Amino acid sequence: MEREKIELCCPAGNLPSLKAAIDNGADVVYLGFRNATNARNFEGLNFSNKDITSGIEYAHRKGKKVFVALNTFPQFEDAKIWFKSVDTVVDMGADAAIIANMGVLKYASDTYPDLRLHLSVQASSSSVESLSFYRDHFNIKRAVLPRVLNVEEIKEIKEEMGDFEIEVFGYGGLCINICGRCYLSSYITGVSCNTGGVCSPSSAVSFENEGDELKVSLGSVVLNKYSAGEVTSYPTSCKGRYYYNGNELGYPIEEPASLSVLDILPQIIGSGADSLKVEGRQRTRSYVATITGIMREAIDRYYDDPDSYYVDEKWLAETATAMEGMKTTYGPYMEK
Amino acid sequence: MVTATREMDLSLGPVRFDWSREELLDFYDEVTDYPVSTVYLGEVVCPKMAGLTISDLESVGKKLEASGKKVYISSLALVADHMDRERVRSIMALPFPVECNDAAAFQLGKGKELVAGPHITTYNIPSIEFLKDLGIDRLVFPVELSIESMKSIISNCEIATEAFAYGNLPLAFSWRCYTSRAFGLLKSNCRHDCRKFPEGMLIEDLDHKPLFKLNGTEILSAKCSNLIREVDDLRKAGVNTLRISPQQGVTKEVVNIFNERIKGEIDADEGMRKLTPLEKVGFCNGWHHGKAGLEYLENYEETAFIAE
Repeated sequence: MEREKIELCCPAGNLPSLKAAIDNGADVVYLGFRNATNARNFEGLNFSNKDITSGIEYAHRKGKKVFVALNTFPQFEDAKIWFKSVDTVVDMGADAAIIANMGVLKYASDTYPDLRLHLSVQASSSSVESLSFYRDHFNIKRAVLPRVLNVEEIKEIKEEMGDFEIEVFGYGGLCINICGRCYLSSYITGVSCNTGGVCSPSSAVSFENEGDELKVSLGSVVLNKYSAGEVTSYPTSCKGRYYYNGNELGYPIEEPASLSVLDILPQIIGSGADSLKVEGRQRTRSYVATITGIMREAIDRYYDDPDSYYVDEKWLAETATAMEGMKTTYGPYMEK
Repeated sequence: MVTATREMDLSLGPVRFDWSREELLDFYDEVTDYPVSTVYLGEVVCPKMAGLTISDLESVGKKLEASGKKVYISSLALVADHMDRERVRSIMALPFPVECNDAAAFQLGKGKELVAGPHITTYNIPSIEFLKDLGIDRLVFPVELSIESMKSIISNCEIATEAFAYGNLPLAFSWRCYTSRAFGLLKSNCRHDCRKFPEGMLIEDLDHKPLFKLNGTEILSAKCSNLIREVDDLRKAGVNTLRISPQQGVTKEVVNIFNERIKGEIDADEGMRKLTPLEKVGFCNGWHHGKAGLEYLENYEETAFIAE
């Protein structure tokens, strides 16, 4: 029996990116509102309600889907803003809501039993027991797994959970710490990823020339000093160059690398995952178009003939350009 | 409106570092005499780090209960592999209530007395109400919450609350063992190098300012969070319990100083004077005041809400 292809789920930070993703082969586009309900609440990014409605129309016309992420954690009296956003998602006819917070999940599942709920990666749910908890209480149909599991563990989760969908990250920025429990950026900047939706906010990032070096800081912390010609990356505290273990200098948390499963796509598909997610709602339209196109081609090539799957040189050249020469990693998928 | 009628008390959080079994057994022998109402035992970071076996936890827990302490077993903050899952399962079989630091513990602890630990995202009333419906009647606030946020929760929701008041702040958890990685190893072939760092491995930024501490799969703040000056704020907000997170060699003194402070035997300045020589890296209290966590606000006036 021919297996259904793994779904390709791509990011969009605005309407042109959504169209680029759909036009280049995404099965699903995920996006968020332009406020703190969104874990990619970057300046100048994200969708107005009108744009989401247009995006959903565009996707549905092409037989594709749109998921809306409301994946942060309200504070104070703000939960009602998240609840209202759930109402809006339903009114707009989105195909699923991606939610992290228990209070918001409770509201959504009680108020809209027919709304398809996906558990966000921000919920830090990485075991059968935890996923079962969320499924039992909120009837979630799918979870986006945190990047802490290897392919064998994903396979076990898929098997043990039975009729339950699993979405895994395939490409893009790699959170080395489990999402939803990482306070590194909040500790340095005072802006919480969990409640404010921004890691390493641009307002806290500064660049300064020091002789021949470029010094990059986040708040009061120096994250890196680059010599001329060195590849730079968006500064996050988990990918900083630091002194550690006495006076060793290096990247003791994570190298500035991004996740790519192109080499190991057969193993990822073999894990039984239902959906392959591309990270990067904060990235440009052209990035979304390029990576979506490559992932589409890779997935299609695999299903055409799994045994002769290979990584195209062209994909590597194009992703290298899109990622500005950054190294790639398998994250935890192959060994931990 | 819930008001704080109980007297504020102290708890001892779980030991986060890879101390040896002997050290831990000696440490908890001493804890029987500490002026804390509550002790959290067990492994939060990595099951390979766990110095005490499951049966040790039972005997140590019973000893602490016999000395009048309320004992909770803390669960892992990241549950992913077989060893993690087995660890959570096995602590549920112990005759103590459990501090849940991951939803897996809620699922496996059905029917037990449970606390929502600091790694659960109890940022808002709807989430807490949901947990209360499951029978959870105590929570430890996430460490990044400001006093304003704690106050908003306490005044709108009846639940016993605890705040992290002293120690290196738990900032992140990974599948990767950072300590092993510093020695060119993986978590799967670890050599217990974390045993060499009973206070964590210091990370400094390129200006040599202390930033983080690596502790196996966990990242802690290099600075020690210290809310001795904020004890009155926390009391007025209605926080019931202040958590002291164990640090090597100084925990007993820290607990005693906080105890003197909550009883009003010493003021905040005196508390600071006594705590300062105990800390090597320095203090932070920024999150309490709604600022960056690593900041230390020295001469703040009592926070805004008290002037309301």
